[in-house]
Amino acid sequence: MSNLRVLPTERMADLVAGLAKNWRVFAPVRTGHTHTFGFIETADQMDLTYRSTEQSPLKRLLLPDGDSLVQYTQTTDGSGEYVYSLPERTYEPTVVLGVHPYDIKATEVTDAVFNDSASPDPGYVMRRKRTLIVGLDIVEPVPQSFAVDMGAHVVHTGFDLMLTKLPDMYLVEIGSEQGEQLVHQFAALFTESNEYYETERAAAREHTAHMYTERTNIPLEELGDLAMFAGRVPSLDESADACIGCTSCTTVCPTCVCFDTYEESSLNGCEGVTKRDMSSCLQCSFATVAGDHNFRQSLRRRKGHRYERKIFNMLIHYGVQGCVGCGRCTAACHALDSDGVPVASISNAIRKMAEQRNGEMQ
Amino acid sequence: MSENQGVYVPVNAKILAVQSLGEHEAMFCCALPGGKSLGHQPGQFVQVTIPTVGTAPISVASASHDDGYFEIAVRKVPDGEVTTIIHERQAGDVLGIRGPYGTGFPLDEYKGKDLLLIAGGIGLFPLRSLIQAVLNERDQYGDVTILFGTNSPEERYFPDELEAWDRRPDVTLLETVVRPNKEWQGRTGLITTLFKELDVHPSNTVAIVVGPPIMYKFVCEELVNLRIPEEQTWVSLERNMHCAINKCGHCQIGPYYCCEDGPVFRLDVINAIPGAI
Repeated sequence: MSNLRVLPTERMADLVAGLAKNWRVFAPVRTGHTHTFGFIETADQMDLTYRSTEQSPLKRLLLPDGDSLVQYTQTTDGSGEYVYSLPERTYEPTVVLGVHPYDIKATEVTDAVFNDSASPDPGYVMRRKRTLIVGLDIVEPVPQSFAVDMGAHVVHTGFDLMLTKLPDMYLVEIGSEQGEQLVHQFAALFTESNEYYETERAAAREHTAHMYTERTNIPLEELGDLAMFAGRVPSLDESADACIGCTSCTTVCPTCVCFDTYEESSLNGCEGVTKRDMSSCLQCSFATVAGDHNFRQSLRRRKGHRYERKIFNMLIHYGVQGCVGCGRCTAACHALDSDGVPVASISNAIRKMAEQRNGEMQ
Repeated sequence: MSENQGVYVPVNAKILAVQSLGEHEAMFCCALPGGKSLGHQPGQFVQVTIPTVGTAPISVASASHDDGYFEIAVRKVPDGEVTTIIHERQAGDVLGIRGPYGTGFPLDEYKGKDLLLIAGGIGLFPLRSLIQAVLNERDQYGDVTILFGTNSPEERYFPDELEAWDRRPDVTLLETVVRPNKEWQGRTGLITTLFKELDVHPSNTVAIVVGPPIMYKFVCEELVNLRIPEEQTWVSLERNMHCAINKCGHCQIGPYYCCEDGPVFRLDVINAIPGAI
């Protein structure tokens, strides 16, 4: 049997109602002129026609600010010593419905960092296991997105189910055992697919792929080659001077995973927890060490560090792509370079590095 | 250690002894619960946690011992809450410890080679772990030369050990201070002034550099003058090792994470990265 099913559009409400009985359902909802993900009970609360959201719903759920890493309690024997333990965590099983491919692609980064075999992050791993991902193909990309050049406009793995909107129906691809179980559980809602629908899906994806106007002008497999241009593109340095270091670009990025830790303790200091908040390499103090020596004192250098990390350093270090081309950073950036391009734009940085490379190759 | 507890959770190490090393520096001899060995390599570091205050990366200052203890030497930093409270700890108290982390010095690659060991200031703390390991197997190495530069004679940490190393016929110790006092009869000047006294065989010499961030560039220039290749030079770099487990991103140097790929790097691996040295 194929791994494709058909969900008639009018049955979506039944699927959401069924899911909501056993899971929290996190889906795109309209907020004013834009969309965000929120918890819903019924399908009429969600809007699957959304084009983008300010942040990745998966990063919001899997890496929430304030996550507790360690808890400690002072012993009562008068020694003043503390006993350390793993914090108790609660996380209701959750279905994230309507996740775009670039955000699914970004879990390759969060998995590489937080679900590595050497030091798995307990909170992330627990939440990841209890989160089902129901993806949704992009219909109309936002103008800042270049996901097509980052191989993140369509994904073939990383989801439990993947929906593609076709006339009067969603074509549903099963991507995991859990996805298979879901389809089985709600079998009455689905019908069999056929080759015609598969061709329709391919055509729909092709149509969307041609709608991208923002491009990197370099094949994806050549991004790693740009590493030799780290810190060597003067126009990028200069353009970064418009940046005010507001950290919006890193905040909205689905693959930005750097974090700070801090302590929260009871008033008498007898118990406390070490907590984590997402951080930003654009913060001045990010690379500061004892004695106030700052290894990236200048904003230019911090800006350059971000470009390099997104374009090739995550690839080199973790073996996963550091940018998925969602375009959120560009949309969030208020600083324009002399060409009027938002400074945060990774596609622009890629183009400039590629220009430098092409110039030196001639 | 305590893998079932999760990667961020420290254990209580008992402080066996505290030794003052200077006005702001002290060494803490620690033992893990159950007499377990830390099992570290020279050059590795641990994360030291003070509950309700925070965590700081501290290099291990001793070689591996089978007798179940290790030493960390700590400078109390102005406004450094963690190091300030570590300094209030006494024998019998505990410190939260996790680790060891990072790359150590690759001793096997050094064997049979002449060693040029260069420490500036509290760079002597991590380098001491290497010096101890080398002297424990002294016959495995060629000439051993130690260069040590500090601001003042008061910052000559481990004076007894410095003298012991100096007395050894199989170790050459060259010291200098920047700001001598009246009693100081040794060399004065920056650590780079010691290099003119050296006579090395570049092809068979390994250089190891540990010091404050400002020192590396100038010392590495001297090593170039000595014709010691970057492939035979190791540096131990300081960065903001926040989580120490390859995640938080604060200690990145280009594509490398200082907590996992370092803190000990071969110079040719790291030197081309902007801002690394």
